[in-house]
Amino acid sequence: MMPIKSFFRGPYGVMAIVLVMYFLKVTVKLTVGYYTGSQMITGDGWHNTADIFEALMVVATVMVASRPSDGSYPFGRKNLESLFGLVVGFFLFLMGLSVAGKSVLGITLSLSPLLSWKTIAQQYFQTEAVPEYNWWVALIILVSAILSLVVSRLQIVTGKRSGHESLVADGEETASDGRLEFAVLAGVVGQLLFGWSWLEYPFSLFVAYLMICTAWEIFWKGMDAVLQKSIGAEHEKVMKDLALRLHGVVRISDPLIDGSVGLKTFRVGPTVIVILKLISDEPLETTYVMKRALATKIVAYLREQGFMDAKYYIRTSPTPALPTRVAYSIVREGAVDVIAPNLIDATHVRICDLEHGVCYRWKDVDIGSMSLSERMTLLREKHVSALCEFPSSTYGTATYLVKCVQDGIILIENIQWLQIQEAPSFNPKVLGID
Amino acid sequence: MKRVLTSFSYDPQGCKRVAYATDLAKRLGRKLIIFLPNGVDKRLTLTAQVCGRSEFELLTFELQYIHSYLRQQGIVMEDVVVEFKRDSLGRCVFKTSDMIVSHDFSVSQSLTVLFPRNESSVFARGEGPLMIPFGVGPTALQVLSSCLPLIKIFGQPVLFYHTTWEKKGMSSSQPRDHMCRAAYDVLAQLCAKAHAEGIAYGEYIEKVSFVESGIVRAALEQGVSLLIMGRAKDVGRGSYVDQVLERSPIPVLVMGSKVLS
Repeated sequence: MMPIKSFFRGPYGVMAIVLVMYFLKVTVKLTVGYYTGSQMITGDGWHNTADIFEALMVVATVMVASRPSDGSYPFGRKNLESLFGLVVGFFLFLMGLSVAGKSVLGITLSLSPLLSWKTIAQQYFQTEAVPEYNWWVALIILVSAILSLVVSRLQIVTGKRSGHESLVADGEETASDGRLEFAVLAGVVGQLLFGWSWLEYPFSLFVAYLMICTAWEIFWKGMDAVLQKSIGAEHEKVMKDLALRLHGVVRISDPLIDGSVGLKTFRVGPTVIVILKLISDEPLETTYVMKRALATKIVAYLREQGFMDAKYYIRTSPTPALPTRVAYSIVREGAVDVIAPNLIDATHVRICDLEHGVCYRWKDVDIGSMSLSERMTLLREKHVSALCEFPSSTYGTATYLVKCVQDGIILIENIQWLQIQEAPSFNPKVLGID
Repeated sequence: MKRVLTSFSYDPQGCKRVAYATDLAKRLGRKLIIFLPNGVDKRLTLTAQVCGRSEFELLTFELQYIHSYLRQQGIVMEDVVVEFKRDSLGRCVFKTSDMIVSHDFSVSQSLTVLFPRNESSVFARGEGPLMIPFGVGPTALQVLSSCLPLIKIFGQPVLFYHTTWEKKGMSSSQPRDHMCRAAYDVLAQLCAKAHAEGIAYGEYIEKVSFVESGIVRAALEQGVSLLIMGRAKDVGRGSYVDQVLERSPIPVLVMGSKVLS
């Protein structure tokens, strides 16, 4: 059984506190409003009834979003929290606009010297320029405002700690309520002490500004997650640097070379998803260890940056191989092989298959009895792209072939497909083809 | 360490090996000896006949080619005393102070060998600490004593790494609390030695199932530039050094048994 202390530190415990707070507020505000005849307190009581439903929606959202990922939802259901944030942000924005409008109107009515304008405005907007207050009202608003701010702080802290964005969004909305209540309180106290009921409006206007800013932030945070926006180029750059600093990584996958994008980041609810593809020629077991080490570094970095939850999908694949086939002209005398200076003097050709510049297969073909034309045909049939020979003081194959073309012995079409390259050593062992 | 020795070959690994050895020799201020695979043998004689060049001409041509090849690869040897030797590295008479840079795991266990893996310089991935794994034996202490000059020149902190078994009945989640007395003693001696020599140091203790994977993972996580290990004399089969060499993408310096003794 979960200890009580742990329960109240978790999202459900905090939401239980929120619900208790709203039930208390509704009961007290409706009762006091009824007995004092204050329309404002009664209206606020009904507003808090709507907050109860919102709190229940948060609980439902947290319950669904907490379900683990499965085959149908590979990234989990945490985006529901972002959707919730989107809705809260939207309504908070509307509320901010409404409060701002009422505040501007209130200021206008309070300051307008034209009696007729006041009357028209009061008739159209049903706004009392000087409402009636008493100390009961002030006390109720004060307690309600303090409660709102304390509980909102609890919601935000718990939401951030447990990674529930809906809790944070609801906490921000509760905080806005609390700030608004303080603004109203300023007006009530101003009216009771000095007859300055207009004091509420400038404060409310400032609170409306804060509400719109908060709404904007919550809305776009939710929107970014829903649209799977990257978490930011600066974060991606750091993650790429971390990967490139890891021993064994050749590079981050390049769409032009490797056919796929190297790094993708986005958010699902509060969870950052990192999809990274690395090019590494290390064995499978080593890449497994590399992935774990890199994931630890990335998660630590994201935590430092305030992203409390992250999931990573790191893949590795070897450097794409571009197999090439080259041939070496060989002179063999007894058991000794050396690289020949040209194809004409060669006794054999060594046909080598290369990958990443390293020969992984070679085969000798005896060409001692073949004519030059037959030798060229053999190389062509074997799909050899280059012929390597050790430079001599006499002539190389290229010179010889050019002379043959000039003399009309061979057609240029029959030789131009072959590249002639200089072998850096005469020793096959040095060249890794022994 | 008076000399850094390595061998040249025309494959990508050979090039990286020479690059790493050059950087190492430069940092340590040591002489670099590069072994070239061609000696005066039957192949040279046959090539001289076939190509119509003298043997001397052939060898000079090859050396010039190697120089230009290394320059093309961006390997600058101007600040290093370099000597090219036409011999096999295997036939060299080694001194205990020699450090061999090689990709060949079969190099004698008595020699000090640095396996550069796929790196082409000591701090190619940025500067990071050096890691010395330790157990309950004296090997790590011997490794630290032997490597002190290198550690001081590199100027990087040393990380002492240990994996421990879980002590039954011990409720602590701190791996350090699960260490045995002998391992504590080794750690204390390592720290005391590092402190006395004025080297920055740290410790990394953890509980893992596979020691070799733990070493490699921890080294990767900590951004270690070089793993330094020694072969314990009493291990019959499955030396951690060999297992780490099979798995580590990080360069590994294995102190030879001759040096440690």
